[in-house]
Amino acid sequence: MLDDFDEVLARARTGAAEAFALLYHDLARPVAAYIRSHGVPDVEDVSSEVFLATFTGLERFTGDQAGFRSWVFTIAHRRVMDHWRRVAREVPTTAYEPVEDDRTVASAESGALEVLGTQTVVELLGRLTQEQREVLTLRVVADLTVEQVAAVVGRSEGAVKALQRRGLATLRREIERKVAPL
Amino acid sequence: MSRSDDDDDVTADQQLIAGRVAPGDEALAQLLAVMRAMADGPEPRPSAALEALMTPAPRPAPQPARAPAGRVAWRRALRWAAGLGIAGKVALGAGVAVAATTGVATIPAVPDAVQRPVNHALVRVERFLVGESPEVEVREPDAPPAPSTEPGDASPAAADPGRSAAVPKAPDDKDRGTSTDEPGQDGPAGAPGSDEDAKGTPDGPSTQGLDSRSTTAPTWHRTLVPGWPAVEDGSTEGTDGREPADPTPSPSETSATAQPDEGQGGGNGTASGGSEPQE
Repeated sequence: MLDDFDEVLARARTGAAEAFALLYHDLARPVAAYIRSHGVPDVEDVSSEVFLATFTGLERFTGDQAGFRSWVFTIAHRRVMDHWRRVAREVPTTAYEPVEDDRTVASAESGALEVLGTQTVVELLGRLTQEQREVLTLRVVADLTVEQVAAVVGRSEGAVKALQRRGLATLRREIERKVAPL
Repeated sequence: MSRSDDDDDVTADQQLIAGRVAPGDEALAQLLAVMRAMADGPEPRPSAALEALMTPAPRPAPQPARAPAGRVAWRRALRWAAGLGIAGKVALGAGVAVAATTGVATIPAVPDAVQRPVNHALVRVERFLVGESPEVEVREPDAPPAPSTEPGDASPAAADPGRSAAVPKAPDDKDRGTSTDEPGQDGPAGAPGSDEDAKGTPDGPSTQGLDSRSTTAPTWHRTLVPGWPAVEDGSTEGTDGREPADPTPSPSETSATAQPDEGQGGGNGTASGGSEPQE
């Protein structure tokens, strides 16, 4: 979160490079996580496309920081959809290679990673429907409210809650089936 | 499922998504924690286009203001001159003055009204320095136009006023005739002092007239050129172009004796001569 978001946004609208950088550093990681959770292999390319579209369309945005966050994830959502429409394939289920995974995780979450790796999470999310996965990733990874998620996906809040509930139920079942041996 | 149950489920889901671990949902809570941790992963590397957008344009390094080459040379010369001693500065000033005067006297672009006095002053300075004989006289700079119809009269002397004034005139320099030696004073053919008058014999009045003109100095010359000796013979200043004869020309003035201007077509030449200062 930026303390002086309005000022940064105003500078970004004037084309200030350092304002673009501030906005990017504030949202790049959740956007990349959102894109990754959808199984997109080229996370960096798609995330760069998202921010390029964001910065070039700043004139069209009106709102506060929460609205800006929702707006950025709306763009990310559309980019992910475009990506999957373009490659026309399902979420990859290739085996996870820990050597190739250079990502770091906050220490508070290290316990969870000992049980569930990121790739496992991605695989579990792949068991959900597209809409359920969309809602859950926006709610958890992007940290959006139900209202914001409804705005992003173009559905009502009730529909978002329903999709959220069904998605969590599916995950619960899949976890019990997959993690039970643990 | 009642509406109350739905609300409870929604509330439980909200708490689960918010990170609160409900009893019996530890595994799901762990999965959601991993999902949140994905947002704390490494920052994706921006593409080249995005990197360029977020990188401030490099500002050009401030360049020291460079003065034009001419200005630098001028400042350098000033510094050099400032370092000179008093004698050096005096010599430098004199050299600059001489160079400027010479330039004024020789550059054709300078008007004749300015060039003539400077030219004669230079001649006199040269004579003073070289120590030429008094017989060598300066030709009349203010001679009236006595053009010759001969193209050859546009002698080198006419093209080079400084040289024409400095070159001694031989008494028998009949080729000169009466055409003026001053640049730009070649008048049209048929003007006073043309062919017939100019083609005098060597011992004729033509030659004398030439010598006369070459030995005289104009009044304005005496007034304008500093250091010009005082005119002893005030009668030499003829306003009507007729030179009063010097009753007693000195032997040294024999070649410079003022004579009636034979080539001036009846005396419209500047009356001068006869009183050439002796150095």
